[in-house]
Amino acid sequence: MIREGSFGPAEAVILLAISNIARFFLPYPRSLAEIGGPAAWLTLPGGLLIVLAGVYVMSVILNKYPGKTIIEIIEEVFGPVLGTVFNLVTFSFFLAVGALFTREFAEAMIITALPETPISVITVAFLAMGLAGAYLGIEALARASRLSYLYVLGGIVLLLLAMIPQCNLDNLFPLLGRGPLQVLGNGSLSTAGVTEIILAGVLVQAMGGAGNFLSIGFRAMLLAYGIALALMVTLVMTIHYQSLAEFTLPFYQLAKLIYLGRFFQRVEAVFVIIWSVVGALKIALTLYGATVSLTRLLKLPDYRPLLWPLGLVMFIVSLLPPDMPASVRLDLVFLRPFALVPNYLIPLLVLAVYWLRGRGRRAGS
Amino acid sequence: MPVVRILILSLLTLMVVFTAGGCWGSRETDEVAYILSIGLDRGEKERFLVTISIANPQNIAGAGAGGGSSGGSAGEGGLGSSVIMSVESSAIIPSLNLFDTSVDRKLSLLHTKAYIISEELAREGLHDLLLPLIRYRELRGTALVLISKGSAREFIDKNKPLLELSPTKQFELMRQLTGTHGLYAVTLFHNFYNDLKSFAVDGTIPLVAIRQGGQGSAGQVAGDSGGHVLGYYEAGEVPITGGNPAQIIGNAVFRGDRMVGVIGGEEVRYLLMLQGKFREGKMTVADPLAAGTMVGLLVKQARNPKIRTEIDPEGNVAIDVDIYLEPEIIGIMSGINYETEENKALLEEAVSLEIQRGCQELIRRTQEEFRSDIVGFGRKVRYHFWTLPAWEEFRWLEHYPEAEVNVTVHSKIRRTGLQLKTMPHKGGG
Amino acid sequence: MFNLKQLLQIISYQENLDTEGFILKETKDDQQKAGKKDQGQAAADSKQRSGAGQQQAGADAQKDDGKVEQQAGKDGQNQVSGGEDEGAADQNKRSRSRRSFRKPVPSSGTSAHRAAEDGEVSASLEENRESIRQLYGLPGNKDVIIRDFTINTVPPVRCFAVFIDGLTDKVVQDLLFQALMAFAGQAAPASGEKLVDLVKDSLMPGNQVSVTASFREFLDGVNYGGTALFLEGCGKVLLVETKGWEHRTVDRPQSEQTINGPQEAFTETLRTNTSLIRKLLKSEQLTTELLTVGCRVRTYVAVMYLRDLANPDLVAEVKRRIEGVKVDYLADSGVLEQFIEDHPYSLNPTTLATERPDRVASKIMEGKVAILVDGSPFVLVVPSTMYEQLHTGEEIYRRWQFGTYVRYLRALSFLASFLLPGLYLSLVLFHHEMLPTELLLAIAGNRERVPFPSIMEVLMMEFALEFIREAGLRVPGVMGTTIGIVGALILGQAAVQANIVSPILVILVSVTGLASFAIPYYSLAFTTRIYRFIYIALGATLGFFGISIGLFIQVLLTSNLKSFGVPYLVPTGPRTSAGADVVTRLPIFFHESRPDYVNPQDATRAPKVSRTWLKRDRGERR
Repeated sequence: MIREGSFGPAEAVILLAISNIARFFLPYPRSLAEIGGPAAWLTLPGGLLIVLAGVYVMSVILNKYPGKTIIEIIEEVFGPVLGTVFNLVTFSFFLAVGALFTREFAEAMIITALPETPISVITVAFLAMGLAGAYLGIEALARASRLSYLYVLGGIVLLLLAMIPQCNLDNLFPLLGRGPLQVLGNGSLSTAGVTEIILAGVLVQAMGGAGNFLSIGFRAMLLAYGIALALMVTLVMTIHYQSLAEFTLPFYQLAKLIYLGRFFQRVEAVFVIIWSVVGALKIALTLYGATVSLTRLLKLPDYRPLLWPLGLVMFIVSLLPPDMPASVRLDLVFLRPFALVPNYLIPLLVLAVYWLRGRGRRAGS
Repeated sequence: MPVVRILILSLLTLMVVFTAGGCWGSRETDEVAYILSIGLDRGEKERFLVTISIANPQNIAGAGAGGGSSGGSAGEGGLGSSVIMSVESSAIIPSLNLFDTSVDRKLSLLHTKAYIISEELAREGLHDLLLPLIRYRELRGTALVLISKGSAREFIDKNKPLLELSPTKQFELMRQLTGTHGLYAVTLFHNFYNDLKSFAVDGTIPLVAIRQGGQGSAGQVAGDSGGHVLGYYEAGEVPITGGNPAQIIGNAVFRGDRMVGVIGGEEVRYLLMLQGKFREGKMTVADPLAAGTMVGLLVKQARNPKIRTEIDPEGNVAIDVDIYLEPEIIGIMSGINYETEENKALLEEAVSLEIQRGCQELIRRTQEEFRSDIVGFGRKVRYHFWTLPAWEEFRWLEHYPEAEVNVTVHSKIRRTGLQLKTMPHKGGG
Repeated sequence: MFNLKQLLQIISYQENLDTEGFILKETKDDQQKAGKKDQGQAAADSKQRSGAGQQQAGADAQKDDGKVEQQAGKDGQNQVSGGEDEGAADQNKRSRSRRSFRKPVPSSGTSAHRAAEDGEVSASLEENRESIRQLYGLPGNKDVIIRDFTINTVPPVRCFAVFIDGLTDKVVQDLLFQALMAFAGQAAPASGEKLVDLVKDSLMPGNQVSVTASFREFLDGVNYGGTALFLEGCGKVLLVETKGWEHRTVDRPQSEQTINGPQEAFTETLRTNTSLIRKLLKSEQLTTELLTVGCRVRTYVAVMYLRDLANPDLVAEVKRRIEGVKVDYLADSGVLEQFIEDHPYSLNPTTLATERPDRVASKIMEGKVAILVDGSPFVLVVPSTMYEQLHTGEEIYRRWQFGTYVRYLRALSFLASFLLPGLYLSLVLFHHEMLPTELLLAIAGNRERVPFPSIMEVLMMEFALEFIREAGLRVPGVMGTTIGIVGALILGQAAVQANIVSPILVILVSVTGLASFAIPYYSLAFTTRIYRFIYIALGATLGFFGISIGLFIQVLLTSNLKSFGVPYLVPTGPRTSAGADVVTRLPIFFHESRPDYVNPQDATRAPKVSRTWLKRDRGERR
């Protein structure tokens, strides 16, 4: 129906992984430090387990309907009315993520690099990048992410290596942070919401069908959570958890601390490049996800005509929160729990309905 | 011709972006004045007296300036490599705007390498002073924080590093130099901030001062332990004549955000050894075989100290510290042959005892006098707690003065310098 | 008076019929006016010209054929003198219709030409002569020589040869005429057909002789340096290959110099170029297909590939695109490139043009297709990837350590060539904290005396560099090399002393220039030259954020490119098996497979063990 192009598993893994770690460049690690204290990093393995389970569920569903994406499956399983409602939830999830990301990345740029530039300019720039990416299609996006990931990962690794002299293992203790319940329960739920499994479900046909989905999903999630784990451990070891919970952009704070001799210091501006590229990729992806899911919902032949209006909507929504703390709070209070719905709840419901029907059919026959 | 139209359109937008871009926060280097160091004193009318030292790039770049004044000395009429100004203000960052009424460029903290705070302010607490700074984007987390014994303004005013063309190089080098003697423990802005927030450790900040006129009270502090004078000084007391009058030695000790005391250079060495951050330094110990003479040693820390902590059910903490040192003989005044097996052991014993005594004394002072855990034992005690609430409830910093700390020093002379044996000399009998 | 009138006419408004989309019929008045005005001048003009032409052609004819036989000279004379008045008339006609030269009014001459072109050769010599006269516009066209003679058979056969002066090899032609006129001495059959066969089989010594009845083929043959032989009473024409025009000899490469490896470069002659490639790939599988492009003037385009290696689909696609090009004239392979490339609006070139036969050979060995255009010393290789465009071929000739080192150096210079000035601007304008304090103060101190904003400074220096680059190319010979050095040195030095730019910037701009010269493919270097200005604009407006916008968009656009169906950034763009030769150049014995993105018919280049002697040695030792 829609010409999406296609890309290999290598690109798919990178694309999903980068899309997942984008959040760690934003105020998100701060909230983890709030949840976990010195055990902020421990929230990730738990989240990873949930995510892997989610990927598995999604792959089971996709394998039952080969050749279809999650949007069509939902519609088929729940019927036109309920299915459309659920798909609208997915769509609005993409839109919300895209808009909030646009806002937060724009705010981050203002804080870190361009304190005197008006936010609209930066938002427009981000959206222009997102529109360009979404317009050129998922194939170009996947390739671009595959090309840039070496630099993104290289930058992160460089940062972590540069922080080694300032790391202090003692900062990881007390090991369980604010208590096992808080860390493993709340924390895991929070980190589980970081990913967009549903995005993978929408892109599944471009990634080469449901057959590869499980291995791609697992590899992407392992990679993303591995990077995030390394990042969080370094953050906690370098910056005391109390101060960590204070900083708006912990990653930036980390980059600020780089001191390798008299010449090489304060290179955080280099990381501005890395994370604005990651941000643009993420925004382009969510915009693409939103557009394609709407296109599939409306059964249109091409997604591109929808790009511009949806980009505009995203732009407007992104400017709605009155201030930076409000947008961060929105992300934390509204989007994190909301993320669980399309990513976990709906797939589980699909599976349940499918199962019930199967039983019904078996009982009937 | 749609192509041509697109080209022209994009060129036009580019031009618009170009021209409009001028006001989007781009700043030419010659529109900004870089503050190299900031001094904070207690003001007379307002809360603070803020002193800044601004770089004068023309002079630093040289470029055949030929403007009469050379290097760092702000003497004869022309500008030196930096300009120093002060203003009284109730807050630090807003005071930059006050300065702007007289400086024609935007003041920037981007290259501020040192924050110098007067002792007077530090004793009142640094919390409300540092908090607004850390939020400010331009702050360098890797800037040095220094406590000035006298007024910070005086320090900035009189501090004239003679060898450096660039005034900030001094602070950068300070950071490295502590590795070669350990007479002060460098504290970076973000380190101190972290310590301030931590429940496990208290901070220290290096002490700077301007040497006052005469030789003053030099040597008084060192008097009691028989001669090894090196480093019991605090800043401003080292009897140097000539050169730059600014000195940095010793550290100010904090409890929470308040300065509660001062430790001298020698004590800072013990502190660094306990923390495992001591790299090397030259020391003297009393000759164990010939009273009244000294043995010069270059002491290196072999590896990180081992710190074992125990908590009994009542909450009493016992801490055992093992410090591993590798001294290297650099001078034996008495001419006794310390290279031999048994003499070497004797000397090692003497070194260990001496340093052990110093460490114990330092810990005693921190427990009794300062009641603050500047070594950071709390970081290790924290291992005994599983969760944060339990740890915070324990209130380590209140327990610290009652903790039992045992320091054991293990020293091993690995090398004896260029000589393997000392032959007796003929003079004197 | 007359001049004034002309001037007035020039400056007064005239409707431009070409661009305004409609064609006005010429009024009678117009025609008259134009005719009257031009007539006098044109007549004088044409007289003079044709006179000169006559002398020239006569002399030429004399020189050429005089030696062989007297008659030829006479004939030439005849022919030329006969042409005199006709030529003048022709000139007149043309100049009269000068004003309406774009108007699609088909002259009677063209349609006759068409008819003659499509026609068949007749049995009568005179009819053929008339047709040729029409086809070549004789006798006005002085290049074409018609040489009448008789073949020395037993009843002598009258015939004439047609060739173009300057395109043929005189030695071969002498041999030809000698054989026919002097040594023939056989009985001639009465029938025309048999005559042709006799001449072809036993009288004619040429190495490539073909027989045709079509004037089109005759024209193609003669236009390409052949000699055509028309025989009395025979409806066929014999085409003998006698190519031999002036051409440049095989020289060293001009734009792709290397230290190691072959030092030959292509020339402007198609056949030389194909032979240069075939010289390197002595294989019966190497196929050269000749296509023609151009409606008005035909240019030969050769497509070369290995029959058992190149993907047939790729070859078919290449041929389809070339055959689909409709132009009146194909000037160079660069023009063909623009006609057949996938993305004409992209800055990046998606074909590889090279002047080194060894490179083309190695690409053909990878299963790619080479496109040679007659008259162009640059050969196109498709499909092409960006990584390939950053190779020189020389890395393979060197040991792998050196090759790899050079590749990484080049990758760095590729990035530097478009990013450096933009990065500098964003550092100096936005991110002061990133520079070490001393360096920043040095930059700031130097800038204190410069009255321009940094962006102006950078642009001034960049444009100065671009001027030097362009001028260095155009300045005549000897001065060319010096102007680069002198210009750069003096300009930089003087600009600094005049406080127009800061010294750091001079270094920066020259390093950028050097970096862009280090890119081996000229077109790609051009790409980076243009991208550089975009990054300058972005860096100056939004700092590093701007740079990252540029990078993101550039990566997206570039990874979206395709070259003949192959993604432009292929081993990384879409991840495929990279092979041993992308950026890191592995030791030569690891080059086991061809790049799989071209889908060659045989992907293995070498067996797993290419150094079989290693194994044998070990075995013997054991």
